[in-house]
Amino acid sequence: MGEVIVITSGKGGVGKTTTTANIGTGLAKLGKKTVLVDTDIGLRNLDVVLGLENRIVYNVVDVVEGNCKLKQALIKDKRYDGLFLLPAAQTRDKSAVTPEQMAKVAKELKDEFDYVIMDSPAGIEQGFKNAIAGADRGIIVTTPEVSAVRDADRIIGLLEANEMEDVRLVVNRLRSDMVESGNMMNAEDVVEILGIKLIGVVPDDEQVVIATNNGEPLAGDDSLAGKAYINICRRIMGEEVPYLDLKRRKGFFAKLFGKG
Amino acid sequence: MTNRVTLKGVKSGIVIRLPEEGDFNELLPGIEDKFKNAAEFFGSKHLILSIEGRKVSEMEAAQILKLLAENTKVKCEGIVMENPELEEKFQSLLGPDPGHEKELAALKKEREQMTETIENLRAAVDPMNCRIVQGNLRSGANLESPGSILIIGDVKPGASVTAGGCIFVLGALQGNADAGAYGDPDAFIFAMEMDPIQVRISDAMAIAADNTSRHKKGIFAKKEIAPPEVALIDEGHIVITPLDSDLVRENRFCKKLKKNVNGKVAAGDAADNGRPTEDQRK
Repeated sequence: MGEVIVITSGKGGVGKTTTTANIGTGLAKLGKKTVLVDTDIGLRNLDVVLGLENRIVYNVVDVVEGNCKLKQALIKDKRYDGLFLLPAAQTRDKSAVTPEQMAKVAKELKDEFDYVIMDSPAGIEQGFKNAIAGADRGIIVTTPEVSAVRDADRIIGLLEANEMEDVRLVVNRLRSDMVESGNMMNAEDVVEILGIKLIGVVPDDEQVVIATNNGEPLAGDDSLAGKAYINICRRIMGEEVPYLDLKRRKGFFAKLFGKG
Repeated sequence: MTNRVTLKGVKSGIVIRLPEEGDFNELLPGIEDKFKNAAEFFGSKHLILSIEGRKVSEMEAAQILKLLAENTKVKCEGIVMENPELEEKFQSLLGPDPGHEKELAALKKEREQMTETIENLRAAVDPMNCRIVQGNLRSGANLESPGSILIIGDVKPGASVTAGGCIFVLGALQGNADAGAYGDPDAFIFAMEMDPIQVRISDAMAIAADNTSRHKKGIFAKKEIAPPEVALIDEGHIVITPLDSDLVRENRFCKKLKKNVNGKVAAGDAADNGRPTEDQRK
């Protein structure tokens, strides 16, 4: 019996889908059987980020409407044996699925997989309600910006109203140089505002953009973001992992001439 | 394709399709293999077996059931086949459970409905009847027509085009295209720039290679002028080939269109090698 985790944010563009893809990849890398469910019907992206767009034949709406079996709609990842994707439909909209139907799909997947990760769309409407319907725990993604933090706060409230107890926070795209110069909130500030426990801090890393464009998530590689993502996966699995030092390593010349 | 045993799962049971011709005994090893391979997939469910494609005798049906019992854990609760009398006979043998008679009827109905829908769709197919669409088809758009489709614009990733006949894209095909959707292997897909995610023609399907757009885009990519290309079925597989004059002249390429043209043009002197005659050129 696995666990259903919803990844959500409220605000768009903070990195839900990228985080989902990387957490899925990381968990698969750590030997867990994982399925990623794209609940963003009509604006699907997760398939593109994973580089699996060309393999889609059936999608979650087909499963719900009984056009195919759940197993037929699952797409196996090309790199990791334990990673699967249940894609969203592109030609429909959020109202094609109800929260009850989505919860049923999640429950069915839970029997087969160690982790079922639901990628939520932005917003608090039907799509969000679908995504959280079958979830046991939640991960909120936010960036250290006031607008994203404000929306995250609203989402946490909604999850609490839905009696979800285990809600953790990922602070995404943190720029340590801006934090140091006092122009950006650091992770502690965000945690203090939102009042939930942290599960990971991911630095703003151009490698993430490159990996996303190539359709190859970087969790577990040598980049700072890749390490941060694999640490999040370990924490999801219940391990205690110390937080990374996100300070950018300074180059030789910067050390010589820098102000310290 | 026709002389092979195929097995597929439907909502209420297993459908085994047997070739019409040939000695039944020669099919047995094939059936056994299919059951063996599918054993894990079907598990130990209670299912209904449907035998299609060939009229089987009582003895033969019994042999199939025996193989099913020996090689899988499936519990067969009913049998549907092309011989109604035998069907009833087996039904009484397999357990006259009134609850499953409904399912049996449902399976039969489902089969009939499916055949009917497909027949209707096939009947509506008219490749010479072309729907013309102007403008780009963007992500989420879904265009369907029983005839052929001509798009003056691009088909973007995430958009899909389904035609009973052929598809012509006077622009870039970057999304999904499904020609001959109701089972016409002569259908083809033409695009000025062929860069699709998925292409289907009749029963065949091809997907794009991973991570490689066939025609690279971006500031640093060299902008190559790609030739117009055609996707068609060659020996059961989808091939994409430049549209050159040889292909245009080749009979096979225009077979579908020509068949219809020739049907309508009564005179037998229509060019049979695909080349336009003097009259047509004017």
